[in-house]
Amino acid sequence: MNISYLTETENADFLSEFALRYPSCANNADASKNKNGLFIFISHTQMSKTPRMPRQPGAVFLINKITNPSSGNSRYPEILFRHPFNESGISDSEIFALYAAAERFFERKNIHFFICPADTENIKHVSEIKKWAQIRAQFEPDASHFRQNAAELTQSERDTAEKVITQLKLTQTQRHDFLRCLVNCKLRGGFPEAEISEFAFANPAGKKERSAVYDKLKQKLNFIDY
Amino acid sequence: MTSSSKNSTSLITKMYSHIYIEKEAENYPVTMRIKGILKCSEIIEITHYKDVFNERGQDFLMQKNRPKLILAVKRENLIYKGSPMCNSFGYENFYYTSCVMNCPYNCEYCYLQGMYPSGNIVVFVNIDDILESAAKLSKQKPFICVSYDTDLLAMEKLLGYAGEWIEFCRQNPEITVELRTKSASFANLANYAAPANFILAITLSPDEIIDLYEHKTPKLGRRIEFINHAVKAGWKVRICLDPVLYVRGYAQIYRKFIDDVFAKINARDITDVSFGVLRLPKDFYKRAAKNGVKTELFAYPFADDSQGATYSKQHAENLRGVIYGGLLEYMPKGKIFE
Repeated sequence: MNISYLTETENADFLSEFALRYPSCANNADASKNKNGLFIFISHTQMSKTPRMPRQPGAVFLINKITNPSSGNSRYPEILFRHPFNESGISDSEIFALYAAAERFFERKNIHFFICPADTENIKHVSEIKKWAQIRAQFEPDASHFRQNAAELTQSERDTAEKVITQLKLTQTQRHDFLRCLVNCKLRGGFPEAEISEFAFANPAGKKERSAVYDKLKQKLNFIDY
Repeated sequence: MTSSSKNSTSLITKMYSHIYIEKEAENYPVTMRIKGILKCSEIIEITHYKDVFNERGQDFLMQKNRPKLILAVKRENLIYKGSPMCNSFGYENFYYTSCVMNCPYNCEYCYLQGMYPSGNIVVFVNIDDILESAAKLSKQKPFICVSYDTDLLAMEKLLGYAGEWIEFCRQNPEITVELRTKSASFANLANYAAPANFILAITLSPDEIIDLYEHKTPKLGRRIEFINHAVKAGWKVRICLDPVLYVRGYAQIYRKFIDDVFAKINARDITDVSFGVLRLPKDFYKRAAKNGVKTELFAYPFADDSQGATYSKQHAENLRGVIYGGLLEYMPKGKIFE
């Protein structure tokens, strides 16, 4: 997973920095580029912007709530991963806007905003954040957490499917539909070799007959009896 | 935290690690109770639960695995008319309530996956308002289901809502309440006497189905033990075989399952049995797919009609035949509902 860092200092115009890094931000076509990336924003903002932040010298805070003081609206970054930092909210219209912009390029669970109070040892805390980000970036969803039972056809199964597709002269739409149907059958109870093999030898005469044979094939696949 | 734990569950936050609390919900007794139990959870103040619950781009599956809590005040629609997709058991006036949105369990066939944009759990802390709305219906002698969109008994230690409904039944004998659960913890009921108008509806499935599709739920053996404890303590128990799934070997699996259940439970002790084949609300898949839900159970070519979606007529009939035929050997016809 790629990690993008953006660090704000008191004098930096971070919105320009963001636009510079993602010049295509006006172009939605590139929005999918960073879907799998991690976006870390580190702000060394003044304490006055974080009235609720406990005054702990040297503390780094992960932001769990961003409020726009002019509208009163709030956004809540997803916190799905354990971390060693304190948490806090922040009331800042620029950071609110930055979060909204980041959402266009990164998945919400991959956006992490941090605050380091301006009067602390910046280098040490930035390196703590980067260390956590490295671990976070290596995280892969475990099969035991997520039920993503996606079946794929093996090469030999694909070859069998292609024989039927060629024999029945299926259109592109029908081909796509047929392959999806085969994946569903495989998910439900195994690749339906027996059910489709006879269709590899079918010899429909015209377009109408081909359509009828295909409908029969789909009916057979969709409603396999157990 | 080390890099060797990159695939470990230790990287994911604990269940209920964060509690989002509406400002209006701050001072309710349930809020105090939850904060007292989950002392280490991070508290975040919010204006309205939908600000968090309806956020776009949420990772539904990760949330479902380790949900956060959202405490809110329910302001409207405290009671709903019962859905025609659900059994009303012969009651003319059938209602349901949602004191909690989302369930701590994680069943792959659950309709909640296509209903909510978030896997986090919303608890409506103004339970007294919901009970008051329900009490107003007493003249209708209604049947009210209180645990459809969640499992209240599974969350009893945290919320105490099953206890509230039990006490409600005692005070409102004209109202029949059903609490549906997959929980097997009898300790949650041990301190209560069973009211005659309170029905515990326990969902049972074969262990093969539980292992594959009913994540985080107790095994069949534990649920059967719970039923026997409950019956002995005087509770009215309904057994729910719902949903019945069209899986490979379904006839043998469900036949053996029914025999095993009634080998361990005395059928005469059971109030009634209900069963239903898998059926899902209309347009469920689009929403479930948007939430990233993928399960082989939805790889069936369901067709939407005005009621929703279910198996083909033939497959549904075959399933019904196995279940109904099996149940008839143990229960009289009048006590089997579909």
